[in-house]
Amino acid sequence: MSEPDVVIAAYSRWLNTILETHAKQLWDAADGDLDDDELNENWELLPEQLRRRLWGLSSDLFSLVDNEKFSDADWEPIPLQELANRLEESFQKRQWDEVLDLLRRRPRFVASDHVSYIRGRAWQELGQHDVALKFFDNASRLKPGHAPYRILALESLKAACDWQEAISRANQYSLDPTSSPSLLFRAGDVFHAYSMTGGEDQGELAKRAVDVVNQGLDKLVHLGTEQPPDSILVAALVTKAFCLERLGRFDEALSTYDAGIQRFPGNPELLTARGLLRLEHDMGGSIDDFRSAVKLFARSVWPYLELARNEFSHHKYDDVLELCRLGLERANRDADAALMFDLRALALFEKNDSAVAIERAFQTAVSLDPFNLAIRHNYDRFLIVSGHPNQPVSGDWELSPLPIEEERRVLYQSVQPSLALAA
Amino acid sequence: MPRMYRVMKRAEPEVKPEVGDTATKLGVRERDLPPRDGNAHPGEGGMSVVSCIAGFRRRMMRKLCSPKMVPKRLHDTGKIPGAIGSQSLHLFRHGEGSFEHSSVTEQLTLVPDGDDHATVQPSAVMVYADYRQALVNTRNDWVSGEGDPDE
Repeated sequence: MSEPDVVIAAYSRWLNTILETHAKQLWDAADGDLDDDELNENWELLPEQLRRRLWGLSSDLFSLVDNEKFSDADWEPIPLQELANRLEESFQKRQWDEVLDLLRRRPRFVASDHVSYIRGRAWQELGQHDVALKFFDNASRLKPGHAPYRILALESLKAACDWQEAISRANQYSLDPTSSPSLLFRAGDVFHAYSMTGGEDQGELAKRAVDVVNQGLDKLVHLGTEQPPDSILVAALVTKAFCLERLGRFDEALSTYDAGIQRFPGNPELLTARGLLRLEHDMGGSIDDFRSAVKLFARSVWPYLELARNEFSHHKYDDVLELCRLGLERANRDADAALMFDLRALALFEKNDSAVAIERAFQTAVSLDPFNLAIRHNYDRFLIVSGHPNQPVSGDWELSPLPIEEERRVLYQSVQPSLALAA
Repeated sequence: MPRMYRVMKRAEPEVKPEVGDTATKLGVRERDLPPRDGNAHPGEGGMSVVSCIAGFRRRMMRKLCSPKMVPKRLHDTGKIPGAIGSQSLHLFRHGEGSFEHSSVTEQLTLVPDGDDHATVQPSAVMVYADYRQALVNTRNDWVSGEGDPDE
């Protein structure tokens, strides 16, 4: 193993050791005594930052059983305002180890449940969702019935791919008459998210997702019910519509988007989602949705790409170039950027732009997605045509089919509510 | 004789350390003092000890030992938060004098090497097995240090 691999393995082993020791209270076990020099040697492999993090975790885990201890003797006293400032700064700069350290300092001015929530957030950001779950569950224990903590725990279970537990909790929340709409929305999303992993009984999972989201929507109409943040409601509507589409209930899916767009007319992601749904059934309506989404600065690349292709077919090459520029700012995958560069090259060609600029765009497209045959075909054709400038040019370009499932997946990710907002 | 502390496994029912060549017994690991030609040499390492409970905690704060090497009891008393070691581990004390370069026994010398930390080394070149036996011979002089003040 390389040195980083050795450190990662040692860290992982110690993390699991600490979690297991706490969970099983191994300090009291007859065979729980440590006489394991190999394990200790593993400790010595860790850089100081990770050793601090693990010691801190071990200390913080005692808060789960209300046995947290502080030792102030070795720290310089710190005034409350300075502690608050340093915590704020570390939190905003996403310096999670520093946040975790400062949370152990006194004077403590944050409520215990919130301390646990912040610890969960820190561990979530550090990529340890199983650890984050423990602190979100503890926050729930300290503030029973507080939906945001339960939601964050669900998100941790999803991120950790612990689907059995996630689905068990989602079912439990759907049976609980006190569950808030937000909690039901995110519970419904558990079924959808699991179905996206290729889990069995996709139809059943989609149906269950729709049912649980509907439970939340039904509750919304009652006076006095907690109103969820817009982002959670938008995500719920997308979840519901995606699942209805999967179940072949096209009209209901469309109605779901219609209702959502009526409520959130300025939401480009809902417009994009409806545009994708209408692609096969109502091309004109679909393009209208993409056009509106672009005007509203949609975050995903798809409305820009879909609309650019439409404009290309209508010979509006300047518009294509502008849409490609905007789309490239949003293309997170190389393959999507390649499609944009391909389209840019074609538009430049049709505008009789310089061969150098066209070739550069093609080369970029090919380098970003070397295995896209349509892009290769277009590039090859350009090379032939540019070598014989007197030959008539036909529009024999190929546009590769867009990955509709990928479009949906990216769009789904783009509407997921921020974890900070969830709490 | 200098005062020093070390966490070691307790030999029930006595409050005395178990003997052995591991990190948590009364003895020395070869990695802490590598033998040369079958001998133990001064100035090349030895059995680790610390100056006081606060010193132990400060080493913990620098995370030089794992949380499993300290009995969980010391977490409960607030002395070392985060400790999750077996309850069969115990914090032992030896001696009463200053924590400085000085004789522990005729064959052993305390050699501080940094804040709060020292090694118990052979006083002179000796057969490695004799060095280990010299450490074992201190066993009856180790007593519980868990109720001691921090410094």
